[in-house]
Amino acid sequence: MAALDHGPAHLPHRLFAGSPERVLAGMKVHANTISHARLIALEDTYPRTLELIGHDRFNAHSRQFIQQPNVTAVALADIGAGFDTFLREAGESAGIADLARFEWLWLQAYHAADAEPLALDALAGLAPEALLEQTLVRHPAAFAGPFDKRVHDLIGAQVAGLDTASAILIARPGAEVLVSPASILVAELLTAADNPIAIGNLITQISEPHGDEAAQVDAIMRSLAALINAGALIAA
Amino acid sequence: MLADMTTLAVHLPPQVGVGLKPQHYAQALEAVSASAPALPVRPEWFEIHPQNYFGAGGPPHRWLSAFAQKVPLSFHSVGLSLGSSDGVNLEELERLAALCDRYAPAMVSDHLSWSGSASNRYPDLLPVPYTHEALDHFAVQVARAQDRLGRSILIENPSRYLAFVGDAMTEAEFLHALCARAGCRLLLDINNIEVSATNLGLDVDAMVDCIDPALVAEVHLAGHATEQHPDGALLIDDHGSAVSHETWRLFERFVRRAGLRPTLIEWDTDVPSFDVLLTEAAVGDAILRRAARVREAMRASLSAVA
Repeated sequence: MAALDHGPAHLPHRLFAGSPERVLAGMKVHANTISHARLIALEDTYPRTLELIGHDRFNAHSRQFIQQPNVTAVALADIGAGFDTFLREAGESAGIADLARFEWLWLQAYHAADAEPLALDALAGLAPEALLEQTLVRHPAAFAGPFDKRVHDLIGAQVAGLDTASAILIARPGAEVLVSPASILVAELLTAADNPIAIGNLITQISEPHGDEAAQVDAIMRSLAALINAGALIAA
Repeated sequence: MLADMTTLAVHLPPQVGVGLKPQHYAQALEAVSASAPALPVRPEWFEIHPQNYFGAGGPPHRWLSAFAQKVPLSFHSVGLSLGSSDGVNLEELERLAALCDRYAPAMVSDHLSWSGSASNRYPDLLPVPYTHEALDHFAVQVARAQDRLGRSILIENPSRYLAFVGDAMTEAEFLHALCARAGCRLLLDINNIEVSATNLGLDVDAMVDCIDPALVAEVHLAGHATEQHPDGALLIDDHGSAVSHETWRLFERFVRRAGLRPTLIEWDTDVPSFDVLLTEAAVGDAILRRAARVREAMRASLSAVA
């Protein structure tokens, strides 16, 4: 293992049969296969980031990234975790690091558990008291939050309204991952619904202690409806 | 929803199958539908790498569910790391077991190799020494995996670039002893035999001929890359090209002796169009049919003589 991790100088003497040249060539095949698989897994996870910064720069970062013990210890499917933070610490701009964060969340949504999204119709017939007691939770394939403006601009080229939105909602209510513009309030609501929470408690938690209470409740209910329409919540 | 699906609880047919790739999902599903277009050959089964379906849900599972209702599936794992000194990777085993519960594949396999330790994972199939100690260890790990999965699995012969000084038996001897000890069977990768024989200077025909056909439940065929070195060619098992002439020849040699087996065309890198993949599968299908005719003729001749 030391030879795989640290190079041929660590190859135990007389472990393998054949000439030193042949043994070295064989070890290189294994080392290249391992390195190549990790690099390709990163490229597959972050295609837009790769496209934005170019292959050489992406490759330079990737080669550093995959040397880290916490990266070499995980399966290929999880190897991209934390790459956005790594890029930021490596000196890349907030826009590039945030694009990587967006791509990682998109992939989590793609592979997340399937679940039946809550439909507005299911709430329509409820009495006000029952409505406030209705418990919700974030759909496993839903994420929302503010991103760097560069991400809004880049992804916004394909999604109307994203370039001017204050947050981005990623959701997969059915077969396809959907990306849509969102507000900070929508993002806050979805975060608050990370664990099951009753609508009444959600309103209380999100409302500011001072201000126009009726207007706040109205804004929260509109945002809640937007989240439900996007398939980002499920009944708990 | 997916858990309620009806899967085909069948064995792999002794015909050609292909590795299922996301870029081929739509065409592949159409190919096995009732209204399939004219094709070079119809794939009778598909193989997947279960590690690509370890996510909880999403499109990969929607597709796999659709295939599981139409054709038999073979799950070819690349992550159990049965040869690791730390033992089988239990996290991978649990995930594989869950996937098997969900889809009831016709066959499950992994490799005679190791891919990591408690602290590191190597996305490769690393060689195991052919020693009695390694055999003892590997047989115990296969048994652990089979116990958890509740089924017998297949173990694939590796592509070798290195031979250990301490090897005490041939690859075939190791594999045969492993099957006897653990109750597993073999997935015979004939490209791997060509790769190993070339790289280690072994007799390729002898390697094919000494395999006990009764143990072989599936055959793999794939392409390899070639590096030229001063002391000879080094073949690299990259699954990135068409099956070599030599591997086709060895395949025919094997199936004429052993009879027909479920035969997979693997193409995992530089994946071609589905049509090209099926053209390769058609070559395999033609060889299987020819082998069947030859074996039938031999049987008829023997009957006449007797």
